[in-house]
Amino acid sequence: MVDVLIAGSGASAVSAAWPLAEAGLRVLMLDTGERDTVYTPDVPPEDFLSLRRTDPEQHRYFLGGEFEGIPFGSVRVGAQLTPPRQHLARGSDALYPKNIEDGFQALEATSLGGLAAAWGASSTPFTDEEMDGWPIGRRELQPHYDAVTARTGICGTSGDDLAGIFGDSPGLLPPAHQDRNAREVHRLYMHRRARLHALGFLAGHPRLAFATRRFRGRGPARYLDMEFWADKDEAVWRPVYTLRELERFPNFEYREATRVLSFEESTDGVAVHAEDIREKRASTVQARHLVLAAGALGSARIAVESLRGWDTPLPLVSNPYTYYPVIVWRRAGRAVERRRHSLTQLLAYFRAPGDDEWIQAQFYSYRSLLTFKLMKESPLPHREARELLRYWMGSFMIVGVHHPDRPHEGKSVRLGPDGRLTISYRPTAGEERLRRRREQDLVRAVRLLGCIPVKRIDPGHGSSIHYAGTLPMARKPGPWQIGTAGCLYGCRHVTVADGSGFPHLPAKGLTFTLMANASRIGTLLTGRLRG
Amino acid sequence: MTSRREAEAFARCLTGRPCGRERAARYAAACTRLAPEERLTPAERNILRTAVRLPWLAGPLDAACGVLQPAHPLRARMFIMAAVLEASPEGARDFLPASASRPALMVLTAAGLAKAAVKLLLGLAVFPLARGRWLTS
Repeated sequence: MVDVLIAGSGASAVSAAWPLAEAGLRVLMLDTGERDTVYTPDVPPEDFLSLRRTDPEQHRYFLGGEFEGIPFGSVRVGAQLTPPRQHLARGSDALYPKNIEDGFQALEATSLGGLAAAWGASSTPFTDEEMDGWPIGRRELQPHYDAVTARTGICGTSGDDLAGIFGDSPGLLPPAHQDRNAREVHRLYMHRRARLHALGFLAGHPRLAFATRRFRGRGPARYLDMEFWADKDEAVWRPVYTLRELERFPNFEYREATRVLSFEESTDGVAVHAEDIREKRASTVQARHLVLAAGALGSARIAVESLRGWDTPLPLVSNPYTYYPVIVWRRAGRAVERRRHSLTQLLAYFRAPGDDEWIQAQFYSYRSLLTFKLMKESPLPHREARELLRYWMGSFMIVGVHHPDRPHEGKSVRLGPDGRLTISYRPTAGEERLRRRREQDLVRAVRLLGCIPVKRIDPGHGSSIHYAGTLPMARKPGPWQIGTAGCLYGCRHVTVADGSGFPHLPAKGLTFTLMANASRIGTLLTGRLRG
Repeated sequence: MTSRREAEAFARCLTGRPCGRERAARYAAACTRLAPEERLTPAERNILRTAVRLPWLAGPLDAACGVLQPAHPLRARMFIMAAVLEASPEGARDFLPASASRPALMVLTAAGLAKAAVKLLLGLAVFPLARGRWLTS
């Protein structure tokens, strides 16, 4: 019997595992564990522009062996995944069947590292105001934000306008270099700061899980602009790096190609039923305790299947997401630099006077996802689109906008007895109106930064790939809820350590908070198991 | 089966240069996978055939499809050829960002839009004929 069995290998799983393994408890992690063995090894460790000019084999990883890098049809969730990252959901449809209602597109990872294997690395803590209605606050999470920072390497600064939102954090790595587009936008922001503040717009350096200097065997980033393809410097944190460190503990074991199906509690522990996905062989592992960290959808599946709650509607929240390609007018026609990164260059928060919630805008420069993908968005003939984009593309930025999300009856997941998950996501008309109004106000502020929006692209419900709230945390939990320590209602030996427990989502990336909360839950569980 | 002639016609339409045997083969493989011949309607097939047999009409028909039927297989195949050309060292110079002074950029943009407009007008005029195979029979 192991002390703790952890289902999943994503950001939450490795963060929950760390305090448990560090305390000497016997930890077994079960995971489907798909890896990219096809493309990543073929990508030479050079910068994007050099590869484009010299590598005759570049089509192999830029387009993919099955041409999966050429996006066809309408904009869809996961379309931004490059061929080396498409292993993320390999075989997912068969393992995790779904009925999709209302166009919600859910991506369930089968990869080692879960969805965080393709995470954009934005590491923004939640504030007390944003956790209004949660049974825990920033005070409980802060030591774990710091612990996660110390393990993953977060770069950024506490000295700009976002300090009030981020708070101070010891051990930050130096901020990542901004590229020329971002520097120009940032410069204009500083120039028009008072006016932008009056509108409710704040901007600054993002905090990124990005090793700007050598950190725990990773990095330093050489700014190859290849983060979406193959991060040869290991600069962007991925769960696999923490897993690599966990495997140095003799009391920790990782078992791949295995998925957890269900559990049965007994007086002294839990029997966990799993399946070898290659051999299709069932097995049962005895553990003193089970930690579900298989993602908001995955953990909900396991809980419902185990407690026979089929067809029970569980809540679901997912940040609505929209993006705007913009032209940074003063950069039009200017040369681009060789060394840059593909992650968020500038981060902004916007809250119009009188509004009570922030929305988040991430500014990316567009280059390393290739020009032809932009040509598809243009009604021009392809030749003219290509010729014009060459001169304008260097000034292109993508402004990705996240909105907060709260649960209501129109947003739910249900697991049928046939193992299919039915996802229904119907925002109210009021929510949709509010979202449009906030974006219109935001776009006014973005124009003041010298950015000309070209188009509004709504990739559809679920496109943020942020899913949470299926087993929400409550101070006094009821059925299908968890307590503040993550304990699943009605269970003594099952804890939920992922985003299932987040009652609602502020307009931010959730991964950093997933990790901090999982670290908190792992620490509490360590204390409990050690008696 | 996508012909070498189609690949060359589309590569010339996009960059003014032929694509060569290797990239033509890659283009054919991508079309088989993403935009196969069997899915074409007769009218779509006629448009494609016109663009290949009369390459000077490929650009105008592409422009017309961009307005009339953005998901037309001609647009899809041009898009595939753009991807194939871009993902090669020979094609990189045609796709990588270039710099220009502000006045030059304005002139280039105006010229590009004017060319697109002329192509569109011509394309709209020939589109009905090309659909009906009047131009290739």
